[in-house]
Amino acid sequence: MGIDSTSQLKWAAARTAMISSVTAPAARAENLVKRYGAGQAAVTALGGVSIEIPAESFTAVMGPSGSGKSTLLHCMAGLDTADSGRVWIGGEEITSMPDRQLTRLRRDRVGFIFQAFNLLPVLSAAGNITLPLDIAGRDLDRAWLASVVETVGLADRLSHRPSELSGGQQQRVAIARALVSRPAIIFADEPTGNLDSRTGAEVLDLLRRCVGEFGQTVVMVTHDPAAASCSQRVVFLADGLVVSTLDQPTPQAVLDRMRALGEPEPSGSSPGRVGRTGRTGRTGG
Amino acid sequence: MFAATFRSLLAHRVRLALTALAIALGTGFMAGSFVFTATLTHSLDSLFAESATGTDVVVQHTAPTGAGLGAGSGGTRPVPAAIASVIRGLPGVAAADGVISARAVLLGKNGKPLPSQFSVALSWPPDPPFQGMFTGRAGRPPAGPGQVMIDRGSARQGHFTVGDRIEIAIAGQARPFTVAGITGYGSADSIAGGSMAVLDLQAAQQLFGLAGRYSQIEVKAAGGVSAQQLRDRVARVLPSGVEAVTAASAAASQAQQLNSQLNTLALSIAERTRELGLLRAIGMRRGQLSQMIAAESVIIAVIGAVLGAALGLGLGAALAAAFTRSQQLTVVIPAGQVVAYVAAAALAGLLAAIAPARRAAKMNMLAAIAAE
Repeated sequence: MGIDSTSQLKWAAARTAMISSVTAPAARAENLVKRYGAGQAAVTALGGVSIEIPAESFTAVMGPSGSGKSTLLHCMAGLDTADSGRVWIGGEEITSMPDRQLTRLRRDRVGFIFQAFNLLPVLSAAGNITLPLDIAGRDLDRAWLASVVETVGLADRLSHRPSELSGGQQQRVAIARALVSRPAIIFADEPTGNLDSRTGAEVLDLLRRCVGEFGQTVVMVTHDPAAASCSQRVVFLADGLVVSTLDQPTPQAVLDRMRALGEPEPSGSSPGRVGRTGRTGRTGG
Repeated sequence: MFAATFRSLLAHRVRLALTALAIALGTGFMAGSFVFTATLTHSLDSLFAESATGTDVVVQHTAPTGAGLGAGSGGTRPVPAAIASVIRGLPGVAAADGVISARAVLLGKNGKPLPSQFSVALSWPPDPPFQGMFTGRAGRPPAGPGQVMIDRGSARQGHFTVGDRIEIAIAGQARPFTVAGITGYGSADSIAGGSMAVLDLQAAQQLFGLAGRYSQIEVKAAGGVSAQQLRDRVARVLPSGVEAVTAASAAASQAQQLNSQLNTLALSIAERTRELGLLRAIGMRRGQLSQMIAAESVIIAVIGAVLGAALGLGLGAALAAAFTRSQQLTVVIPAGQVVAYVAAAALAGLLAAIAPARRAAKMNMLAAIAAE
């Protein structure tokens, strides 16, 4: 980290604070710290990250491999616990919640979309979509389900098993699953990472429509400048810190910012934190 | 949530089927042996090891011949009679009687054999504990050569009453006897539809050329001594070529089944780590996850046990029928034992699920989801 980055960091923090005073955030993190390991071998994944996610926004989180972006997502979604710092979802602080309460929050207030889809292979598309409601024992709002299913375009695939669906269709099932419980916020961890560019673009368009049509809030981690440029704002992380943000991003602007962070090419084959191979769907560069 | 469990079970049909089959086979042999035992106890009591007359241990030749088990074959290789008095002297032995079982055909008043499934000669056990299966007796038990007690079925069929003369074919030669008594057998008129000639013990030894020998020795345990303890004590004093057996212990089979179920579950947990991690991530509580795993285990165990019990009923009846060669066989279903076994299987399923359910509840969600 040079002097340049440090000044950038200060700038970003000031800017984040400024934005937060304008709208009520869907989620907020304050001074999040997360370390793995202990002593000399300890790795700092998050070095004190503060970020606000405005309601009804589409935010992308980018950064070089190991910059802590997936860890940030997991801590904000209640899937992982930070060593210190605080996280709010809606108005609720989740960092002090016991497991049971945190589990309920994930069930009712948070949607999550994974790179590897993570559908239950034994359930039909419909079963996967309504799984969060099944687990909660909540009644099905059929009108809402129909509207979600129509939006993701799966009306004629509902009885199919995940193994009978294409990757893009599987990810659309996962998006429907995230939408069905009307969460306060949806987190997506490299949602296009396992898709080719065309189906990746369809999924991104779908996420954008979730924000525009359903008033959802979406936070997406991605490696792909083209994917990031579909968002309204990109937050850049490096070495566990927020280093800058970019509003109304274009692929070229995102690419330039990534180069400045020392990521040689976005299509580089460096193994990400998620560690999956076979990434496709790079449309930028 | 349990809807998801059932759907999951249905969807994992192959795994479910294989697990259930393993349990069914285990349970089947258990249930089969229950039925077999109960049926034979009902019909072949004094000839068979697991007898209801209070026989806990049977001492027999290590290689019972062919049709074995005594039922009318007359081919059981005998054991030395001296063993019986040694056994009587052992601690924990309430009674020990030598038994002769051989083949003898009752002849009707027209000189032709009375029609029956099979014909057996038995010796009258001197000790009361072994006399329990000879029920509803009229007249007296046989005492000395020339006296016989016949089964009620044959008496009715051949119109014999106490005091009548009767001829019995032994080794192809008709011999005259006096009907000293008539007896039922357990709740039936005879042994599983066969004819039965009960003879005095010494007379039977003479008749069948078994002086100083017995077909088998039946031993009854004193109070507080288990069949297994008794078997061990008896086995220690037996010469080579002679063995002591108890009712087969089912414990080993059950332990093996529990073990295999544990392994199956551990395997299925490993396969499903990602699924379970996902369920936790999208909001399934630890308790719900544990319940789901326990429910799955119990369902598999009960399906297996019920299938196995059904299999076992057929198997047990078939075995019993084969041994007695009788169509008049009354299949005895030990309902209490079967129900208890299914309940035990459900409990075993629950116990087997404890460790996997705990592991699943404690797992690291993110690591589980990332599992390849």
